[in-house]
Amino acid sequence: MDHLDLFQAIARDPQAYARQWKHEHQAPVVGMNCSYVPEELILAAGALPYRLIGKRSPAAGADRHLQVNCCGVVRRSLEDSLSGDLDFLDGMVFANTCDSMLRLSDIWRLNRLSFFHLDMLLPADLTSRSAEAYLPAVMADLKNDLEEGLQVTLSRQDMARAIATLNRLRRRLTALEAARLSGVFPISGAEMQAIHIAAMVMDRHQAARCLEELLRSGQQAAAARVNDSAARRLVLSGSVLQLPELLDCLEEQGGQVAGFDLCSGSRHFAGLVDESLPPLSGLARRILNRPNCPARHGGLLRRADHLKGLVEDTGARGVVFALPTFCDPHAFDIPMLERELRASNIASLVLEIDEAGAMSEQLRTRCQAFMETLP
Amino acid sequence: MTDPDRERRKIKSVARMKEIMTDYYIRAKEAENTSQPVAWITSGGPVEPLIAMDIIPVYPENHGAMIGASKMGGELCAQAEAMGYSRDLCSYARADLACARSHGGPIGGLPRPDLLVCCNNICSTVVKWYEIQARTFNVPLFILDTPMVHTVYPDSARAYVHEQIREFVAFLEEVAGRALDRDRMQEVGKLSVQAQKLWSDILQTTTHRPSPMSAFDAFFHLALIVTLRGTEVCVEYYEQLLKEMHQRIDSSIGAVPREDFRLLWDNLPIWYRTKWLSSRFAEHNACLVADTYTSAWCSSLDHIDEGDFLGSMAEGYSRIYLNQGVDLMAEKIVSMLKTYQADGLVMHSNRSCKPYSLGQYDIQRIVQDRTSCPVLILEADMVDERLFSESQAGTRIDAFMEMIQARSQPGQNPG
Repeated sequence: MDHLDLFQAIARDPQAYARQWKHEHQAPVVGMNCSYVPEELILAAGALPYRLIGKRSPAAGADRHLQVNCCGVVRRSLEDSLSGDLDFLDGMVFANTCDSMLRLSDIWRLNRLSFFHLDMLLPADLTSRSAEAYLPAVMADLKNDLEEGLQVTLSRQDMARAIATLNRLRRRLTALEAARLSGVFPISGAEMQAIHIAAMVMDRHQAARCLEELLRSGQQAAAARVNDSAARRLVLSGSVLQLPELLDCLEEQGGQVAGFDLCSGSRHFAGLVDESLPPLSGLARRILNRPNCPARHGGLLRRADHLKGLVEDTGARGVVFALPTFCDPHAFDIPMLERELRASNIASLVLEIDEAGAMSEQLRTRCQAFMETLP
Repeated sequence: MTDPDRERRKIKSVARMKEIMTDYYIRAKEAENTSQPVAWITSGGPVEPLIAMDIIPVYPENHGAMIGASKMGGELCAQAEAMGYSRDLCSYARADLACARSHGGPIGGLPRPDLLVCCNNICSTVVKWYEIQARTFNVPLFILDTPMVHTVYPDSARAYVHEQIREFVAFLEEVAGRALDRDRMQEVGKLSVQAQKLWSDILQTTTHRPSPMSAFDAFFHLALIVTLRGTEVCVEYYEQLLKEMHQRIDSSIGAVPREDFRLLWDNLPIWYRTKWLSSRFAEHNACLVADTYTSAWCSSLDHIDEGDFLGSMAEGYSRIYLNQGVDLMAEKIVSMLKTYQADGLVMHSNRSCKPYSLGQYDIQRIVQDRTSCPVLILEADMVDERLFSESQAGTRIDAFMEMIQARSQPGQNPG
């Protein structure tokens, strides 16, 4: 199996990978609900940081705990856990973000779905001076809780090594994205997305190594069609997205997904930890500096500015919003983002992605119509 | 012809309450044309420093309740949807966003704000909602962030909120262009605590049989503790209301004609159907005697130090009912069922309010395990009447009440 195939296989079944990893390494796996969880601390503790993205379609299990107007990410994550698909998890770290995640954490704890359960009380307003002072304390609380939960001691060197590994992984991903857009490494958007998803769950050392080798080999991927200079570039914006059919559809219509403003995309990997700072301060600083999730206040127009910057950096001609049904933080921002993009002459399309995350004919038609309007 | 029994059961203080609220809104609307600043603030927000600085607080959520009670919610929410806001978003927010543009609603919209104060102890939605209004009105926004108390309240969070209170005062001083008078602040704090204690005492009177007022009455009388706590008029009014409740107890005047069954309500009211719901339960000789919603405005009294209001605000505002874990909420409900000798629990699964509603199914199981109390879940929305089915709710209420009637002798405490 080549490296690209490996990433794709892991993205298709991350749970099987984590289960096997645990068996082979005889080491703990710690789940995390959000890109704001500093996975470096989990890695430093000798555990596999496993980002929950939810695989299983909701069924009776989640319905017994959650109303229908709860987003798919939360419902699918709970369903995975209740059904036993996440039985490899030794513990869970919940970053407190939106209301649904806050309550998912409570329901998870109440139903004893993991051996240890940690809440990371992330500040809501990332622009305040008090948040800047508080975040290192949040990191310290999480470090202490992880030490207790995993019965380990995290030294400064452990944390520094983990930080260096994650920084290496992020640099390689950035390099790969650049190589892809320059045409050196012409993989499709769906393949790039699979790499993002796999890198959120797999052994981070292995992921960084595979990315390096992938870059070095200059491997030509199968989907050479996107190496088409006429392709009209797009930025995809949203939350957790596992819908390769959407990316394929946009690219079949002559587009190229060039920016991944997603919780399961560049928001997870953006920004490096300053290795010259004490580890906990460095981790806190990255959270403040990285592009914010709409569930955290980063300023009144920061998300619009970030999106416009991403459009400019990638040479995109439009933005496609993949809005998950019942995701309030994203839904609140949509009218403002559309307005701001319009004011900058950037076309945009809002697609509502339902709980099951299926690609309907209606979505296909709307993608097609949008692509026809793009210059 | 007037029904003498019905007249006797009417709460007489209501007239004074309406007078106070009318004066309050007139004053707030008039302030738009004066130099007195107007602040929009969330319902669980720290209003006392605003009062101490003569900044007029205005509550979009209270306004939302008025919109709901006036049955104007559906129309305003539809306007917000036309503005691009999803139908799945909070109906208080949607109605307010529409009103800000159209000056619609029962009072022609709220006065323009000079500043916005948003505290996320009730939900995260308010942060997104206030971000929009800060852009709309181009005014400064202060966010008081109170990390959720899932099970414990870490020292780091305590210090963080404490620090934000200092930032909040500095923010107000900058906007108002003057320093906070600490003595005045202390006076306002005392009045706030006094009002919260009175409100708590008023809610406690419903432990009496028959209950002198219902949760539906509490929803109405709540407006003052939300909008005017920290003022003398609030204290005076609740003294009057408490006195009336004691008089009603002495005269055995109940909220409903016949109280065979006592129920507890969970979540916000269904504002556009309070009268209908009250009558429907009353037809079954049932009275909703208490609720988790109105009691939230006195739920953190244990954490407030009257002698150091400003210093203890951080903890007080962090440890309110909605800002805690589902298990702590379930504990509270179990305790209330016992305190109020309730025969059943009615949970409003409120489509607009995720922090209140997600977790209710687990609470239902905990309550049933620990009290064997029947639980009814009503699917609805607090303001958007398009999301309410009267026939479905009616059928479910009837079936629930039949179950309660069948399983218990009137007045017995199942807990």
